[in-house]
Amino acid sequence: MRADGPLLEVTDLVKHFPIASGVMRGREIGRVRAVDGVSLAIGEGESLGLVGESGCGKSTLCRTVLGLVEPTSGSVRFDGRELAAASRRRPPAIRRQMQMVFQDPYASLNPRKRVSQIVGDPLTIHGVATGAERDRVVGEALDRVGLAPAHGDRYPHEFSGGERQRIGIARALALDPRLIVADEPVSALDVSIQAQVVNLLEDLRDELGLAYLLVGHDLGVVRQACDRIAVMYLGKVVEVGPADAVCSTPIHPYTRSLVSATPIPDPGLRGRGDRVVAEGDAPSAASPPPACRFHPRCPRATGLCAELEPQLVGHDDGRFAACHHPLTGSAASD
Amino acid sequence: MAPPLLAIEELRVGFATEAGTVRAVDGVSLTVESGRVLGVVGESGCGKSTLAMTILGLTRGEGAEVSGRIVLGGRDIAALDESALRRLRGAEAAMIFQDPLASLHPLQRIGSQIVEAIRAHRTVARAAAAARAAELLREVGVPDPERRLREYPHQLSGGMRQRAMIAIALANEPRLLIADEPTTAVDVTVQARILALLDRLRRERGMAVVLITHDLGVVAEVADEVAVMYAGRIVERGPVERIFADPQHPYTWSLLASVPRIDRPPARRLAQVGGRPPSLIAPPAGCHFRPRCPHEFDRCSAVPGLEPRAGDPGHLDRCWLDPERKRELREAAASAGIEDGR
Repeated sequence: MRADGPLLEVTDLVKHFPIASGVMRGREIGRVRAVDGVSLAIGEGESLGLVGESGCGKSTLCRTVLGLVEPTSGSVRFDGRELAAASRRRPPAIRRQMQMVFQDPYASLNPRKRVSQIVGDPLTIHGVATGAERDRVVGEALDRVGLAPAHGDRYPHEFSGGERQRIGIARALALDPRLIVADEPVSALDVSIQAQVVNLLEDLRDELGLAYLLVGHDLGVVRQACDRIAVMYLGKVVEVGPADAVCSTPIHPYTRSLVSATPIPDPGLRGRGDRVVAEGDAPSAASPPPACRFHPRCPRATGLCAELEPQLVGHDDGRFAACHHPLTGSAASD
Repeated sequence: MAPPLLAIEELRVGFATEAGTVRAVDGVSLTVESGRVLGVVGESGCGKSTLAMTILGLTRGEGAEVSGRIVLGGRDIAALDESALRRLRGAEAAMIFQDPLASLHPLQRIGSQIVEAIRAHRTVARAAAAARAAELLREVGVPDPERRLREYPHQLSGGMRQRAMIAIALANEPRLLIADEPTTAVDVTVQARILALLDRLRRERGMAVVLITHDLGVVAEVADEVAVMYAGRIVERGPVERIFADPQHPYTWSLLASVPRIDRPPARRLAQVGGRPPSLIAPPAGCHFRPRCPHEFDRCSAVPGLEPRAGDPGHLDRCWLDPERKRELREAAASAGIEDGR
């Protein structure tokens, strides 16, 4: 029987990386606050997109959820159970249910192994299936992603980028997971191939009831593939809500900046007057600005934003945003 | 009307391999006028980067067999020898690449790299060149340029490095800038600023830009003209508004339909092209897109010429389908899209 609560629940997750000085093991002179107090929940069969600029902590968050890096503090619950920080201390039955798909389909497949081995290895490692049973599961996983069983005898270099990404997805599916964490799964692919992989992820969700935590930098792709979107800035979630609402009427000025900067393939909309792209570059996560981290780049910032950190508060339609001057109602039209 | 700044005629680039000759560029003709941006779009392996590199003679060292004419400012530069090409590169025509970290020298300060670019083509005192370098950095929107001049590439953020590379490319006020995926490796907010910068430079300096990209959104933002490449050939070319509003080639249709748009509720499914791009060693006879095209018919076994078929003399395509039939097919696809919730 499955628990009623969310499938994955992340609460106050913090991951700081120490910055050491000195040649050998020096003293700590600072900390990169990669993830700095993030809370998120993903329901069974739900897909949550995580967007933000490079360095905002979205990849670190994924890896912490999977136990690949140990958090500094905070909790990760899966199916109602508190999980140990490190993957190796988590029960294998839980580890099987959370699988990862990587960004680079060239670097994430061992070039010396046949596809059947790549997809079948997790089954052996987890002691789930051997021999003919293993072959059957591998064939089924390949079939699910649109590859023929005969492809199992080939090596990764014989496949195109899109096909390799399918192999990576088949490997994640082999253990029959409930949650797939995908870090930029389509960024390295051409648009038409990207469409194939996005469609595949959606089909798998419908057929298998998979939940996704999907990291992306392309808001269009994330909107297409996800039910909800969480926007991160310098280690914090600044806005979260239904994908359509977040993209069409952003509440946080940073979300609006991301939406404005995303090109729309329609020359008729060129120079659209509503563009508000944040000035300057994001500061380093080693020395984030005080209070609201976006305030030095924010067109709406006031003295309050430099003094008091805004908390995530609820807005209409199941949305949350951390901003003292949210873009809601009439305020959104400026 | 003045002749175009850049005119490429029947350009072919082949690379000999053990398996046969890879025809990366297979008879490409195009023109770019001063102050205009030509967007060249297509997927990986369609030959767009080879085209860009060949314009400046950068494929010569790789054993490319090149034929055709590349006329820049009235001079056929395909015929120039290496030393003449070296004088041209960085002066009359410059290039920027996708990855600034790989294009900048890691052990040289930003300032000395810009100064070197200036002094490679002009006799200028070092101090004057350094002052000019600071000016260039300011012009491309790098804050605190004096400080940045003394820094090394690794000390700059990705967007800052990309702008430093643009500053180097602009050092000698080229009339033509070739930009190969200049924003693919940067975040969207940085991308928006770099595209705005390119747009300003072409307006203020009358610089012509060839923008190579796989991103149709980027093309829609800044290009005046678009050339769609598939398997070494241009399959459609025309003014940007026409390409997006009335695309003529089925490959262009599928490219446009496969891009998820942020300004619309999602389609139930994205359009996808089945199959994979053809081998450039032994491409299919006739239309290269034929094996993947849902609308192919017997005429497609002959290569369609790049001709105006849609009623606009500036809008060319390589597709045998009757324009009227194309309109019907596209309308049918669009109404199916509405049923899908588009």
